[in-house]
Amino acid sequence: MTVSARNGMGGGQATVTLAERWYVPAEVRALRAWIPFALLVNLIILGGEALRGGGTAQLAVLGGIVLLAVLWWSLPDGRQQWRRTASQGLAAAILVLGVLLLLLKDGDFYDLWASSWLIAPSALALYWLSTGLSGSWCAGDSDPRSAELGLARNRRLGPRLETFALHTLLLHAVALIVAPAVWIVDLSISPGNILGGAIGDAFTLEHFWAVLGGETFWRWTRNSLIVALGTTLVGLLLAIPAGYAFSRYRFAGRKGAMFVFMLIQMFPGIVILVPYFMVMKTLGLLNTSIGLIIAYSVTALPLCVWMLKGFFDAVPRALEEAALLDGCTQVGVFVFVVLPLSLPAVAITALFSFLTAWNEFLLALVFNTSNDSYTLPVGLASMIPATGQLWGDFAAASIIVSIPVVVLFVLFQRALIQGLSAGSVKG
Amino acid sequence: MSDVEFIETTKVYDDGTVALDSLSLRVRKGEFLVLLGPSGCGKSTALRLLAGLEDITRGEIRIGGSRVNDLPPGARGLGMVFQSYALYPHMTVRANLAFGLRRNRGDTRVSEAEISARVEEATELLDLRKVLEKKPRELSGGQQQRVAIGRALVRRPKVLLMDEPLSNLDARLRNRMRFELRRLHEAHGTTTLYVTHDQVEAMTLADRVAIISEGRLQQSSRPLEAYNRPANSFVASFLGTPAMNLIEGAAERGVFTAGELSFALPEHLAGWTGPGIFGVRPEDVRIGESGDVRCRVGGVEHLGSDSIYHLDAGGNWIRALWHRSGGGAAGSDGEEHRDVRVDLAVPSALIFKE
Repeated sequence: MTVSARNGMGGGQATVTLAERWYVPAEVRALRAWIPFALLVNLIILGGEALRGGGTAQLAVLGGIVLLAVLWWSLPDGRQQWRRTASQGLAAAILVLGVLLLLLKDGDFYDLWASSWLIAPSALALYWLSTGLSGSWCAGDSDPRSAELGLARNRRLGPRLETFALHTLLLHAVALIVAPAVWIVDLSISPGNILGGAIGDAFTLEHFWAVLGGETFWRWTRNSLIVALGTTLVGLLLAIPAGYAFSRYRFAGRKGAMFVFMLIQMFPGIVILVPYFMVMKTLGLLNTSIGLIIAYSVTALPLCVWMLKGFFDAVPRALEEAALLDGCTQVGVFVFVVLPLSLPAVAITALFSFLTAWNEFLLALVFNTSNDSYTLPVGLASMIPATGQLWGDFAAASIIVSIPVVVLFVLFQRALIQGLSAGSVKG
Repeated sequence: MSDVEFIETTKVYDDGTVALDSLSLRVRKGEFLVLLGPSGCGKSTALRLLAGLEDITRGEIRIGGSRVNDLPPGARGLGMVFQSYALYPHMTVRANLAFGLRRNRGDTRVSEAEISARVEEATELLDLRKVLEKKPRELSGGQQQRVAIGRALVRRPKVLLMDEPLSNLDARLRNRMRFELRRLHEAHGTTTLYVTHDQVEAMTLADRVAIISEGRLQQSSRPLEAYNRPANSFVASFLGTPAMNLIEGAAERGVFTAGELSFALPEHLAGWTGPGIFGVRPEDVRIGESGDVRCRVGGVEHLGSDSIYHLDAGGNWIRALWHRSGGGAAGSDGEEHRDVRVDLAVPSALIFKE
C-alpha cells in the first residue's frame, strides 16, 4: 500500500512498484509449468499412434504438439498485447484439434484420455487468458493496487494449482501400476482361455474353480509353503545369531567375513546355477524341498545378516549393560532385551526370506524335474505351454498365488515401516 | 561388612592406553564416595571395572572382603544408574523395576509377593505411582531418572553405582535431583560410588571425594579437606570456581619470585626454598589500598552477588573474587585499568612442588 501510494505521488510513468515487477498470475505460472509436461505426454501419445498405424489421428496429435510448443513460447508477459491475442488463437486451434481427434476415434477410454491431453490444457489456457484478474493482466492493464491484490491471491491459488497438478501426476502413476493388475483380473474372470476382449465384458469363476479343484495346484502350494516357511525358519535361525555376533563382538576375521557376505550377493544367480545343480545332484537333493530350502537360505542369508546387524547396532549398549547388572546372562540379555527391541527387523527379515523363496523360479525350475515336486511359480509356468492356451487358468492361479504376499505385506506393514527406519530405538 | 576395595587395580586397553593406573581405594560401608575428575581421566573405567562390564588387567577388586574380578556383573550384588538411564524401552515402568528381581533363579529366587512388595516400596520412595504403567518414552527426564534409581535399588544392592546420573537433566532439575539424591542416600544408607566431572555435585553429595586425573588417584578425602588442603596443584585447580590462582616461580629466604612479580611469603610458608607453585584462592585475595603486590585491573566480570576481577600483576594474571557482603572498594562499574594493590600472603595460601 505505502509503496504504491508513494509512487503514485511521485507520479512518474517509469516507476514500477515491487509488486508490479514480481506479479505474474498463478494461472500463467501454472501454464508455463504444465504445457511442457502436456507436450511430453502428447509425444508419448504420438508414438502410440504411430505404432497403431496413425493416419489422420497421428497428424492431429502432431499438429497439437507443434501448436502447444508455440503457445508455450508466446504466453503473455503482462505487457505485450499481441502475446495474449496470439496465445488465445493458438489455444483455440489446439482445442479444435483435440475435439477433432476425439471425433476421429471410436471413443473408448484410451482415446478419451489421449484427446483430453489436448483439450484440457488448451481449454484452461483459453479460459485463464480471457477472463478475470489473470485475463486483464495478460491484456497488459495492471496497476500497483491490482498487482498487490494479485500477489495475495497467488498465495492462496498457487498451492491449489500445485496440488491439482500433483494429483494428476499421481493418478497417471497409479494407473500405470494398476493397469496390469486390472488386466490379469479381467483375464481370470473372462470365460474361455484366450487373451483379448474388452475389460469387464463378462464374468465367470470357472478358472478359479478349475485351478482350485485340480489336485496339482494344491500339491504345488504345499511344496511352496514348505519351501518358503523352511527358508524363513532356517534363514532366521542363522541370520539372527550371525547378525548379533557381527554387531557386538570383535573377532578375528570379522571384517573379512562381512565382506565375503557382500561378495556372495554380487554374483548373478545364473553363474552358480550349474554348480548348484551338480552339488544337489551329488547329494541326492533334486526334487526335494530340503534342496531348495538350503539353496534359498544361502541366497537370502547375506542380506538378512546385514539388515539385522544394522538394527542390532542401533540398540544402545547401555541397555545390555543394564540387563547384565540386572542378573542376565549373555543369552538372557539377547532374549529379554535385544530381541524384543529388534522385532521389526526380525519381521522384515522373515518377510524377505519368505518372499525370496515364494517367488523364486529359476532354481526351482532346474532342481525339480517331476511335476509333483514343482513349486507354485514353476507349476504356473508349466500351465502355459502344456495344452496350448490356458491363459484364464493361469491368470486365476497367479492371483491366488499373490494373495499370501499381499496379506503378509498388510500384516507386517507397521513393523516394516518401523524396521526400515532403523535406529528408532532410543534408550 | 560390604565395603569396596580397589587394590592396585589397573586397566590397559588393547591399543595400549592406560585408563586406570594401579588405583588403590577403599569405600566404607554406607559411605557416599564421589569419583571426580575431568572427562577421560579413568573415573568411569573404575566404575565399569567394579561393575564387571570390563575386565581388570592387573590388581584386584573386592566387595565385602571377597574378590570379584571374575564374577559376572549380575552376581556382584550391585545396582547401577547409567548416564543415559538405559531403561528398557519395551517394558512398562513396573516391568523395568521388577526385571532384575525376576532374573534371580534357584536359591536367590524372589517370590512374586516379595517382588510386588519391593516395587511398591520403590514406588513410594521415588514417587512413581502415576507413571507405573507407562513406557519410559512417555516419561520426563526427571521421571526416567527416578525409575533408573528405583531399578537399581529394588535389587537391594550391596553397592549402588551411579555414572554421571545428572548430566542429562536441565540445570534446574539437576539442582533438585542433587538434593534428592543426598536425601535418598540418608534414607536407605546404601554404599554408593558416584562418578561425575562436576565439582559442585562432588562437594555437595560426597562423604568422601576421590579425585582422579590421567588414570591416577590424586587425593581422597572429605570434600572440604580437599578444598582447603589439596594434595597437589591439579586438585587445587580442579576444585573451586573461579579456579585457584597458581603462580609458578621460586622461593628464597621467604620471598617468592615469578618473573617481575615478587612478594614475601606468609609466615607458614616462609621455610620453603627452591622452585614451587604458589596457590591462593580468588576469594582470599583482598583488593585494597594496602597490600604488597601492585597490579592493574584488566577486566571485571559482574555476576550479581559476586564480581570476578582479573588482575595483571607483573605479567601474572591473578583472579580475585569480590563478594558484595565483604564491602571494600569494589563492586561498581568502570574499574578497568585502575591500579590496585592486593595481598597474596594470606594464611590460606599454599605452595606445591608440582
